[in-house]
Amino acid sequence: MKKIGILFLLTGFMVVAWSGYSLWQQTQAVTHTTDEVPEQFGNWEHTTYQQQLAVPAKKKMAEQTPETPDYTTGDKVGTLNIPRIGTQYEVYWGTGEDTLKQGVGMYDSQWTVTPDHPGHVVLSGHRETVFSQLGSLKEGDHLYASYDGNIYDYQIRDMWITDAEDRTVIVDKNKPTLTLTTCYPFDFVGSAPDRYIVQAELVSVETIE
Amino acid sequence: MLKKLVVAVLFLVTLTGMQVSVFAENHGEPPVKELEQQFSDLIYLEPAEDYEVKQYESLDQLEEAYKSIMVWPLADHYLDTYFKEENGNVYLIPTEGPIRLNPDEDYTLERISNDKYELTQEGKNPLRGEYTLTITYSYEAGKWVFGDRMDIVSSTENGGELPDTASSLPNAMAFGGAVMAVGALMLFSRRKSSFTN
Repeated sequence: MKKIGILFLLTGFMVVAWSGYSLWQQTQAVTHTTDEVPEQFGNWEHTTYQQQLAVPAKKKMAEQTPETPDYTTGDKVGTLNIPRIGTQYEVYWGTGEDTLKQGVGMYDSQWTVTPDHPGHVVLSGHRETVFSQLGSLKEGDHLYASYDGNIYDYQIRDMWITDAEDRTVIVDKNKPTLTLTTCYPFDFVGSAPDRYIVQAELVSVETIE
Repeated sequence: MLKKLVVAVLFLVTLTGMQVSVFAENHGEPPVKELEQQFSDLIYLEPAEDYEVKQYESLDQLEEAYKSIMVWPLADHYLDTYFKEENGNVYLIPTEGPIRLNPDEDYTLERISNDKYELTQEGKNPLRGEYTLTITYSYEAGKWVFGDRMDIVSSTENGGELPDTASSLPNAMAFGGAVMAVGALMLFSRRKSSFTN
């Protein structure tokens, strides 16, 4: 009885330690920039409405990546900065289970594009590790996506909760739009019945020097 | 001739009807209208001005009522989404309610197995546009209850699936914790009994 007790205790401890470590490791995909917001995101506190851009970076259109970029799932494609919650994320290609363990994933599908195209960019992240604070974002806040030599500045227009099965979120858009998705409720343990959606429109593009 | 034809058609219709009822002999079809009415009564409770629900004294009491007509995960979902308890009172969270079945309009009721039926109804709603309502009925503990309810708003173009952004790690941690607790309990109870000896 004593031996079994010890065995249970040890096994339990190992499971807790292993999953705790994995969870901690996954949260490392987030860099906290609370102390100092990088210079290029200087306008992050301006939450008044800005006009949406119709196309991302006109000059750059000729040099842009093809409609279906040649990435392999899990490749690092850029970064996402959200100064409002003081975080920076590495963004990887694809939104499968393995990619989302690495950090934030960029959705690859017929409905979505990379930020250099006038269309719908979708980024997804785990609720527990990377996108745990999405709920504190407000309309008007800025999201900055660095991709292929440019910084794309998006302004949040809307946030809502929807069913996990909703197929009306990841759809074609003809204007540059950025959508973040994560699971909801935020403090719910286990597979979640809902999704939290943050949708933003492109308001400016700057070239990284 | 016409009379004979009518009789023949009626005979065929009865026969098909009988066949269907033979297939579903175990529990019959779920009482769609009756369950819908009960669901409606529980979701659209008449609240006081400050959204207090007077008919139920606690969320536990309301939960019991919900669980009498649906499986528990679904009951939890509705309670979490539409109700809250504050200072011992139950309040309705002011929000748009779920889409209800319109029993007088067309719907299809498909038998999945003896204890599972699926109902589908297409409809249009001024707030949400065109939608498809899917209700699954399960036969549990001797009666028909709701197994699942989904209302999906359709768009001209169906988009991509939303990624699964919940990690299983917190579950694994909780499981590990439970195993540790069992282990500790075993050791503790052993020590306790050895003391009494």
